[in-house]
Amino acid sequence: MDSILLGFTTLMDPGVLGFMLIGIVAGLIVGSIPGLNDNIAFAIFIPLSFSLSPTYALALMVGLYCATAVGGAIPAIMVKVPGTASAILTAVDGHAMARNGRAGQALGIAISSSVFGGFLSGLVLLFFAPPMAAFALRFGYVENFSLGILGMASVIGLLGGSVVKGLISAVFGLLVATIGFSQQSGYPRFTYGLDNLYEGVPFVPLLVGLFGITAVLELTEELVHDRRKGIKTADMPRITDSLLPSWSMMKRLMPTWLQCSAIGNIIGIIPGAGMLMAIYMGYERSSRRYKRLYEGKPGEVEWGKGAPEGIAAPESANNAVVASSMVPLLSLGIPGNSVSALFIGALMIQGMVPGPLLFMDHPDIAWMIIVGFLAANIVMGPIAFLLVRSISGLVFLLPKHVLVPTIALLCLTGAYSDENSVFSIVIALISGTVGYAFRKLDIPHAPLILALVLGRTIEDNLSNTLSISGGDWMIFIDPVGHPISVALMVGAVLFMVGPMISGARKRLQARRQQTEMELQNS
Amino acid sequence: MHVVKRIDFWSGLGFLILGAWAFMTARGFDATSSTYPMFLAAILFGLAALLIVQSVRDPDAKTVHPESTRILLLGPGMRIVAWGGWAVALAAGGGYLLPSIVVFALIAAWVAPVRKDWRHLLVAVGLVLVVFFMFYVVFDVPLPIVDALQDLLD
Repeated sequence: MDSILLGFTTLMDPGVLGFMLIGIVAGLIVGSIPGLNDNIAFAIFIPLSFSLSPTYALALMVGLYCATAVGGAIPAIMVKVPGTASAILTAVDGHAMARNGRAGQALGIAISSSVFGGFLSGLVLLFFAPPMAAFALRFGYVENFSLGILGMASVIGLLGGSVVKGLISAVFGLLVATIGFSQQSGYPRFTYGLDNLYEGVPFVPLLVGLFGITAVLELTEELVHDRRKGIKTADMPRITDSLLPSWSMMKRLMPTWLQCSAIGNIIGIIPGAGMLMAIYMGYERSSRRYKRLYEGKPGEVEWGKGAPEGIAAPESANNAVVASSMVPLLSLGIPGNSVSALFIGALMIQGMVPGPLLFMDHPDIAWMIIVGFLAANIVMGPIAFLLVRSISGLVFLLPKHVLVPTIALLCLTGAYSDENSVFSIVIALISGTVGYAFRKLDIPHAPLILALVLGRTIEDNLSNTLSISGGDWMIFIDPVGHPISVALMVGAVLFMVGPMISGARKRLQARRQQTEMELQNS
Repeated sequence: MHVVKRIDFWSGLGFLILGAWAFMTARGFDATSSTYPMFLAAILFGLAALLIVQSVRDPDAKTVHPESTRILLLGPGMRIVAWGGWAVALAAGGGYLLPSIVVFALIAAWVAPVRKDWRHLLVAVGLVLVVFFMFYVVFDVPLPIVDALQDLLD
């Protein structure tokens, strides 16, 4: 209880609250601009946060993280262009409802669902992160290495695409993380005499490049594509009805909110599972419920044609991922998704290391972040209701051909400010190009980011463990000496093997069907 | 479909070369520091070889499309070159403002619906000054500036 009070006391500082509000408003605006997302918002704001005190900087990030997902729903509903990837399914029923003259209702449902999901997620963070962190304090080198492997395995296994590409991404990231002085002998590796690389590849420009510059390059590609094809943006519907959902609507949506928030929270805690998995699962469950209870009844539309549950499900699920993705980060030092990986950058720039030690070394900050997620979701509701009409007009205010170089300039100037060196700009440009190339080659980003974050720790823990065990690798699966490590390793194997088996099954099934069809045809 | 048109074939080849290069480089490190990167490089090499094999065996593999390649070169490719030139100008003592305005205006004009429009330059000057003010004055970041402007600001 004292710790929660400590968090509230830190949060109640007017400056901290002010920066959280700035983060919320900025997040709503950034999220509402199609093509911009929470990653870009973080890439721009992390370097800026360097000059702020840790509490101000992290309050800003908490506000930003909570609000971008909500902002993403605005263009999804108004113009059927999701502001963020997490609003992709909101666009289906949300835009249909807006076209039916109920844009206000659709936006109101999206905001209230987000607030509900986000608040529950904040509670999950409050109740799960501290005990997990206390448990993680028992971990030694062996367990920490196994934990790193489990984190990587879960990210690769849950991606759903090619496991080989996921592994390539992870190994490439681990290899990049070896650049700089070796922690064991001090030998400079892959530095080629460049002083700036002795401490490793600078992390903030690396993140700015991977998230900000990659996004800028993708937006540029989209712009050139639209210009060549002569594609123009659609007209926007007007908000004529009330934004606030009625009491009966809230009662009706409560089961959807609870179900999808629970899905979002569970998915959020698993590293690598991500928002998209949560919204698809929530949407699919809600569609079944809607078809069973409402579809075909008087006054009810078809699923996908403006059903309230079609907005409530993805919005409560995506915001439920937000704070719960911070559970593994704050308790174990493993980011739950790409944005929480960027949170590491925000913490590192302030000289802090996420993980169980954060609760011991900086309890005020750790608890402020936890309590901040709860507070941000409470405050975000009224702000979003107040600003949504003005923000929805912003969608087309800034033309993309101006927006894209502005983001690039902000990101690159931000990268420069990390070490006041042009070398940081070069790193941001190179990592942005690599990130973009990965997108074009269908190589997932998530394992790369996790490997860059965990690379040094994994190597340290591995070498320390092997020196303790005299080079015996079996120490990681010693059930007597290190049962936690065994459990973590078993988990890692399951995460990796599971998708492989299910992929092989699907291929076998497809082949069988093809053979049957060929037999029928002949 | 010819193998060389498959995207995974080329990405596999790229990682294969990278893995081999990293392995050879890591061999030159001292004994304590070389094992781990050599191990990773060998894994990368093996995975890349596996990706090549998969791309050769997969009949539905994604292929290189000429129009996409053109868009890629005209859009992101040109931007990387432009921002790279901007970084060189910064390093060469060209200051922050002028290179930023030039690159910003060029990029905005390149993708704008109307290319030859003096407003691009005006927007570039305005936004670059805002960013400069934000970083140099508000956040106290010592951005590179030319001596004449430094004297003026002092």
